Amino acid sequence: MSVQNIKVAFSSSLRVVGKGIWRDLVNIRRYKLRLIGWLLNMSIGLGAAYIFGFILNFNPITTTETGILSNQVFVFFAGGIALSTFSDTALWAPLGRVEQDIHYGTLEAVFVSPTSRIAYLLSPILSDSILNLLFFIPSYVIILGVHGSLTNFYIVGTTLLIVLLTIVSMIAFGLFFAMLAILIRRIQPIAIFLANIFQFICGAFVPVQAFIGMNQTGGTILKYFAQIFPYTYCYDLFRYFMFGSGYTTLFPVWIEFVLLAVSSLLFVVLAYFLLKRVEKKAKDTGLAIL
Amino acid sequence: MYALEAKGVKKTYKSRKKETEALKGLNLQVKEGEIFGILGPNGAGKTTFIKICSTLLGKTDGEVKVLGLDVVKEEKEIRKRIGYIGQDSERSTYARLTGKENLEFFAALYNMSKDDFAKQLEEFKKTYDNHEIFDKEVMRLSGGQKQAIVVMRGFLHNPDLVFADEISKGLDPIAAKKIRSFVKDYAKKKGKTIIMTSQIMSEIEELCDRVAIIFEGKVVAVDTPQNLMDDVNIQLLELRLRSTETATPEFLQEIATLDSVKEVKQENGYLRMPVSDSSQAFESVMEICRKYNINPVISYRTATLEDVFLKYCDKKVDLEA
Repeated sequence: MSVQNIKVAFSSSLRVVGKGIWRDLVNIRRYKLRLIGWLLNMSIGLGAAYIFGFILNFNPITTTETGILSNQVFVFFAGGIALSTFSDTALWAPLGRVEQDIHYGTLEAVFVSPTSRIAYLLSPILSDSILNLLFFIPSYVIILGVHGSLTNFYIVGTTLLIVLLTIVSMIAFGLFFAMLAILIRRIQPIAIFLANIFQFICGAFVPVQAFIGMNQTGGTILKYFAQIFPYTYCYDLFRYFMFGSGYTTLFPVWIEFVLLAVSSLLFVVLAYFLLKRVEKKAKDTGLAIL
Repeated sequence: MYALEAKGVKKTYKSRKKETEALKGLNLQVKEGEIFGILGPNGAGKTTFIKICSTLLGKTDGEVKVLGLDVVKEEKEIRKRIGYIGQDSERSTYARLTGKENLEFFAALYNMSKDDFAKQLEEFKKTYDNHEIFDKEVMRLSGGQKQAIVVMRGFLHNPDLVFADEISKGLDPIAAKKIRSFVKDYAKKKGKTIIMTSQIMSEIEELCDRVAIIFEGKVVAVDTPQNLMDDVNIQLLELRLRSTETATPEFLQEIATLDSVKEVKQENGYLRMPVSDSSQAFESVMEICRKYNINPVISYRTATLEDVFLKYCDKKVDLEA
């Protein structure tokens, strides 16, 4: 492939991604009920975090393992819930798009075109990230307000960096799930189960560091399992930059950045291999309407 | 050059429980600029064949060349130059986007420039008079209007060859006629090759230059619709009796004994009789009718494409016998 062809392919893919994002944003703008539902979901999440923070204290082991004080519990939960909005990006956005496109037959119309499959799959992930970012920002401002760091530019800058890294890592994870959706039809029930487990394991509600305090053997297994996912490091780093050096991370901070990159890359590689399988399956059996 | 060349194409669907042989060595050639029809009963392999040619499915064996390009080795190039209108594709749009927005999205998939898209949209508007389909959200359009958008999507990037799988399936006659006239006008004007399947015989007869009949995964006949119909030697006389008239056994017996009448069948108030010499049969039958004081409505027809279809695809019916 010549440099010129690569340039054309890249700009064409970029255009497909852009048009896909435009499609999804137009869709959501015209589907107002979904917008309201989203807003309600976010408000309920924050409310729940506030109630949790008010009535719960971490047990001594959790406090020792993480260094979080009991009066920071709201920020801990709210941060976890706010960041969890991006798990939709990983699990639901590409999965939903692929399932819908298979169901209505649109996937055939896409697959018969010369467009890049990856570009087509990237667009729902990115549009969902943009939408989630719109909903994340109010929660984020509230969290910063409660934490008293609205004007602390170091905390604002570093936590926003982690949010962006979360989105990037979710792209890899999202691609992986989109491929699974084509390979394993009716994956939705599995995805619902995985979404809940996934958030818990990665430390959205209970710090991964504290698993070991809940159960020695099970906690250790879960802890190692959590380390496969980029999301674990996103939660951990977000909290580190929010709470400062008083918060004990799973690994040294620089190693967490490396692990975040490596685990994201791992899912990109897995997604690539799954794409090959998807292409083969599509050729063997067709992309029939469900 | 042929727009499509298929030699010995085989396709077997494999699942854990069984293997299904959908195509069993299919051979076909379609010339450039032709509107080519593929007829066949359900499960004959029409859609499988169309999907193989449009790079959506892989073949098990054989050779397929689309616009001179190998369907396996040069699939990316083929995708740039073909259009595809799938079966049941009326729903395959983005419901909350307008017709124009839907086309705009797919134009991006084909890397069309804004100018080219605008020009193509104007072309569509010249050929399809109902312009509201472009500005309304697709979810607010009728089935026929949605299908029009899907058909336009197939022609959007100005492809050299369009595969159309049952484009008017499930549409009312008016909507189907609109789609047909769009395809006919647009394809003829632009000199496009179209390979289409349909279960509607009149559609194939109206649109197609040549027709192939596929039965059990093989092509069993290829020719122009007229030649195929001429080949089925049917001359049929039909009598519809008035409500006050009855076909007595004597009357039926007398008609059946005529030399020019091969057989008399009584179906839904009609008397249908394959004849060998239509004018002689007509005269003789009218004479018997006058004798029994019967004044029926008489019609005469030769073979239709439906008869051709039945000849090749329904082994139980032997129309010529």
